[in-house]
Amino acid sequence: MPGATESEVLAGIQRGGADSEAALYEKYSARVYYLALREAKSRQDAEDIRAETFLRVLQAIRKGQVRSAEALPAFILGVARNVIRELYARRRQMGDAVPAEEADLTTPSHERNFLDQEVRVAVRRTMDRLKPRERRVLCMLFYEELGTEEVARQASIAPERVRLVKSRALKHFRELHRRLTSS
Amino acid sequence: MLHTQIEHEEVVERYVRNQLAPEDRQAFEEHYFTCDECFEKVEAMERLVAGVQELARRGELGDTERQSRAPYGWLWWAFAGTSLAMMALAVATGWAFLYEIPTLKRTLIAYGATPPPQQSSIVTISLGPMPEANVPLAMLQATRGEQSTTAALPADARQLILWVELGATRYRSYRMEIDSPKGQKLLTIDGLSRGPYGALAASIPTKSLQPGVYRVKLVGQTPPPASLVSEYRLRILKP
Repeated sequence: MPGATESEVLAGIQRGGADSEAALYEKYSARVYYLALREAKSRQDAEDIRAETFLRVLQAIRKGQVRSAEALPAFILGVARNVIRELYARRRQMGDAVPAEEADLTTPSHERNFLDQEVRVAVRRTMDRLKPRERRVLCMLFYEELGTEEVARQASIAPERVRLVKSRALKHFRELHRRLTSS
Repeated sequence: MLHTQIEHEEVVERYVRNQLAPEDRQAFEEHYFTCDECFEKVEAMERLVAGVQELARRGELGDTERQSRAPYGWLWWAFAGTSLAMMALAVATGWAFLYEIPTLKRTLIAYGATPPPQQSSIVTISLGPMPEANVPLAMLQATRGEQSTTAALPADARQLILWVELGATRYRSYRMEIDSPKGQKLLTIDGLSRGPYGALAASIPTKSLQPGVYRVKLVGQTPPPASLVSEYRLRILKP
């Protein structure tokens, strides 16, 4: 159901339409997965959270518990947060552990979870297009985790210039990544 | 949340870097669940940040001269400082043995005193652990979100005690790994086991801690196989 409105999707699911369920998943699954990955820092957990979230959301819609189409995004987000909270609580209770092979303690989880081949290529090309000074700005911001004002002070440039470097880099990266993934 | 506010306050970047207040974070999440453009931006920013971090961590940003040195900057200075101190000590010791002590002996003899037996010039000084008052303590909270435990270290503090209360696990002993704010391995403490209160406690030297957010990982060690038990964030504040 490409282009279907939230109301049509909601009504379709309540009628038992599989294509409406697919449309709902298509629209929100990336968001739920991203949120889960940020919180759980594990791809496997994120997939589990996504699956459980959609199971509960679909059940609630079928039972008529979601009446307003406008409330649907917030409802899905709320369910996802609950599932994440429950996962944490279960972990605390059980002292559950992430398997060692999955934990990969040598690589920061942030990099492990959000980088793939296309992203690496796009980031490298983006950095190659920047001047050394601009690369240094991004390094201070994202690696040394300094604030915009501090980066501006250290690089002896205006804060607006730092913001410009960031937005240009992000724009280049988005374009390159889009091109790489679509090809 | 409005796009103008998101642009003006750099909300996307601050969200990715975990710098938003909890209520702003929730508001932004609610926003990107409805806004395709912002969701695309937040995903892109997350990837860009991760990519830059990886390149910097591997020292592949070429001419950003400080980045490759930065994670080990403190180590370089510590090494240089120690070397200088050793050299100064060697010079002072040499001067004392070759010049000062013979001069004093000659002076003693000149005044008719008997030099003390040779072995009595050997003095053993035993330096046990120095007592420390008001040792800061951080109770690490079990959370996987962006919340962190804050430890404000007084200027004269030499140690920070980390206290971890764990639920039931299958492990008898644990390893604690502390990563610097830049993701570098800073300290590893092996053989941690529960104390009489059922918690783990470890002390770490404060001189190795600079202000920032550290990642503390707790890995179950015995019985094998080892695996990650929990992960904490520790924010260090210094005057």
